Amino acid sequence: MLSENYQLNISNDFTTYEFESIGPKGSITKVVKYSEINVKGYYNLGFGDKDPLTGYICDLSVSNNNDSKKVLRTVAATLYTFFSKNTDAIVIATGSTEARTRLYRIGITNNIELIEQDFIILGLKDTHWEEFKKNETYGAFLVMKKL
Amino acid sequence: MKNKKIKELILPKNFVINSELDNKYNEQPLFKDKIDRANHILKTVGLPKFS
Repeated sequence: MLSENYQLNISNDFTTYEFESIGPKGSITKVVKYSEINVKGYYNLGFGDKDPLTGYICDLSVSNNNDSKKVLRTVAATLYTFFSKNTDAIVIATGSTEARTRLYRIGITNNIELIEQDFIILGLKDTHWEEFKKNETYGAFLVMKKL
Repeated sequence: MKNKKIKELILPKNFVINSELDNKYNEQPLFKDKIDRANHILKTVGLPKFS
């Protein structure tokens, strides 16, 4: 899985990542950021495109660069390094839109056997967390490294 | 030398440490909407029980 992702630049604390998406629309800088939220040990996984003119990072952009699977694999790859330095962390991931949350679910589903070798994944089903199941719709995801 | 060894151990070959990223986005709080949503979810739904 890690061999099929873009090269990543990574900050010293392993919370900020940048990589270049390469495709028909050219080179698009993507940013992944893990931010600790109000609950200690819980980190939000943020991911978006950098506007080349303003430098502003937007997680609503639709880049259509024909590399969504590779981009998703690259974002997933950041989990491995993030958890290597933050072994007890719990990461929460929500899509910026329903369509993007669905894309995350499909990405997890397609790689669930591989992911579950290293991580525990929970999905938010209505008002409770449950173990991730294929073909279920979830509003958010929680990821924890298996110890 | 020790730090270099640690980085080699935990970084895949296509990951590169770039110190310029350390404080690059401090002036631009990233993904605030998602962070707010995550906080809201954990506040209303509660914390999970990992088995």
